[in-house]
Amino acid sequence: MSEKPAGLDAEPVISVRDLETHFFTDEGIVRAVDGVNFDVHPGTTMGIVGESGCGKSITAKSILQIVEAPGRIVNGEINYRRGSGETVNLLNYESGSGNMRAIRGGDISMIFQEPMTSFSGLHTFGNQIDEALRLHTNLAKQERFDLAVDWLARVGIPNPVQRMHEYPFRFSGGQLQRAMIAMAMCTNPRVLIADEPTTALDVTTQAQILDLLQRMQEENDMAILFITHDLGVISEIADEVTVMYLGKVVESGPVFSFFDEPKHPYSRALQTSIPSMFTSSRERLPSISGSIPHPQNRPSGCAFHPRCQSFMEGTCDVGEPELVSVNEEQEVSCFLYEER
Amino acid sequence: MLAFFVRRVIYAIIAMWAVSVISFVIINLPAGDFVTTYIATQLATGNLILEDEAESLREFYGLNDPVYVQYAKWMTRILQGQLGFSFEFEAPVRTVLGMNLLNTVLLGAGAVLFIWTVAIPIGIYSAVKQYSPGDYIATFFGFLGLGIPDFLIALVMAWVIFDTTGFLATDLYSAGYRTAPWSLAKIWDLAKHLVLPVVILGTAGTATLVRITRANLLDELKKPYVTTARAKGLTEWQIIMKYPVRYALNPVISLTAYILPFIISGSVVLSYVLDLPTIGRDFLRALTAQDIYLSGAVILFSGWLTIIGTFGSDLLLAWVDPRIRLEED
Repeated sequence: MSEKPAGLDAEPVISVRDLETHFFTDEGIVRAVDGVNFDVHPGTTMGIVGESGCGKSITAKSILQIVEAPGRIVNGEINYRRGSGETVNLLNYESGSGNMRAIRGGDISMIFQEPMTSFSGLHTFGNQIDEALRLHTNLAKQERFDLAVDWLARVGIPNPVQRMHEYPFRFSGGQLQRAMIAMAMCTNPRVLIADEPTTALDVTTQAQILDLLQRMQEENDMAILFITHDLGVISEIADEVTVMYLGKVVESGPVFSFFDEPKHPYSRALQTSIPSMFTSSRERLPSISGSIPHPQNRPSGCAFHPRCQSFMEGTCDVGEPELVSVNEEQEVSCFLYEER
Repeated sequence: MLAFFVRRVIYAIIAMWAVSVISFVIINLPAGDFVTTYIATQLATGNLILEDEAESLREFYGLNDPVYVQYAKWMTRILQGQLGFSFEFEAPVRTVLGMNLLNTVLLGAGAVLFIWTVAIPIGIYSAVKQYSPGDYIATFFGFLGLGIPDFLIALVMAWVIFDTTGFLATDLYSAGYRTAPWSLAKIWDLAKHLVLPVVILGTAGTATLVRITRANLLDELKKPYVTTARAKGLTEWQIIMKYPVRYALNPVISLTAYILPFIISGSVVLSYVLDLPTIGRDFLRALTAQDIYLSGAVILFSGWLTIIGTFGSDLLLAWVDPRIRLEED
């Protein structure tokens, strides 16, 4: 990641505009995703960061239209640029339509947070990977089997032929995440959505999985949308970062600018709460005061204002800041940067 | 799989042995031995039985032996098919039970089949369309089925069927076919007679299984593997039938073993009300008459049928769930 990837200048492969996904619960409407904008460029990695409950996973599921009830996408566009150059708004497709199902697992694959529960324990691994190939390729049975075995070998699983006939409970967590990557990759998707794929794994396995994803990206020229709450992982894998707080984007820009000059007070607070090698071990780690508000009790104005170090009374608690460009690369939604 | 199978067979044999001991104890519970009872009944009808004859009867049935020898002899005779003599019917127990054992098995198997074919689809529908009008209707009838006693439904239904179609839904055979040799016509007649008791016997179990299928499936539908399947591009119907339904069926299968004793004991009252020739009806008569050999045999067979049913459901469970099948290897 020493230089800027060429893909960042290309037309985005996925462009999310004003996405709003709401949950219609008995207690009221929860605006889990509330006007989110970001682009994913071909061959690069966009990282979405945020605390639990900020809407990052729902954003990812919204792209594939697999948000569970009572969640529903109520507004926005998800523009997907096909290999042919044609751009389609995925939200024009019905969730259950053949067009949308061809995208799911075909053009855009997804891997998940808990590899142990993300497979069916009642079906062999071979059965589950074959399903993806059967849906998205025209290969014959034996060809599909060989291809699946090939992918298992590529993600670094020993004895792939034997593994095809085994049930998921015989795999370790790291192996299952590798297997899930193989299952997502075998259809040659143009975009991989990775929803906290390393969260449930120990640190050594995490590093291996991140390496694997980067290798897969290079070999297949694939875009990755990487969702995590772990800034360390972001610095490792992302080219660009989008920071979310309570369903909204608060900052976005290239990963270097994000770490060198975080603009939003929330981004700054997040970074100061990471332990550093240079602070003394006795020092107490700064943390962001307060906790995430309940989504039904959204603070007025900027949702972050009750926890913000730079809170300006009469401004932040009154109006909602817009996402504005502060320089060529970075966008921030904060009154500190708005002309008043 | 082999280890699993062998272990289950051993468990089943142990359970069957335990049931046989209990049956034997029950047979021997009444005061005095049954020869005393026999003499008393004979005396009441005016027949005099000499002490010699009584003694030879005691000798024949081994009543002078220690208890465990008696048990061993009784068990040996059972395994050879000699079930003893029913004083109430004045015929060997084997003759009395005969066809009725088969009728009971038919009725029980029919009820389980009915429960599965009705409860599983309705349960799936109720879970997938949670809180839809169809779900509420299924729930309503489910609780109705649980709440109304079988014998009441049986009487009402038998009357309604007779009143509207003129078909007498009691008994399992029409008068002409009872002793007739087996023929297609007799099987058809039996099938027609089986419908009502099977449905009634199955209502409570159906209601239970609908609720259980629904609850399990609702849990499973939220599991991450469903999201994985969805992200692959399967249709919603393919996803539901292949993954969560498979998971949700496990408890349904194991619960069948749990429901089985209720079906067999439930058939006692139902058999009495609808006059069905099952071992349940014989059982009630044997109990009221203190006919120990007959009631002992019925208890023994009811118990064994339940164990065999449970064994079958265990095998079925191992067949559908690799986690159970492979735990030993």
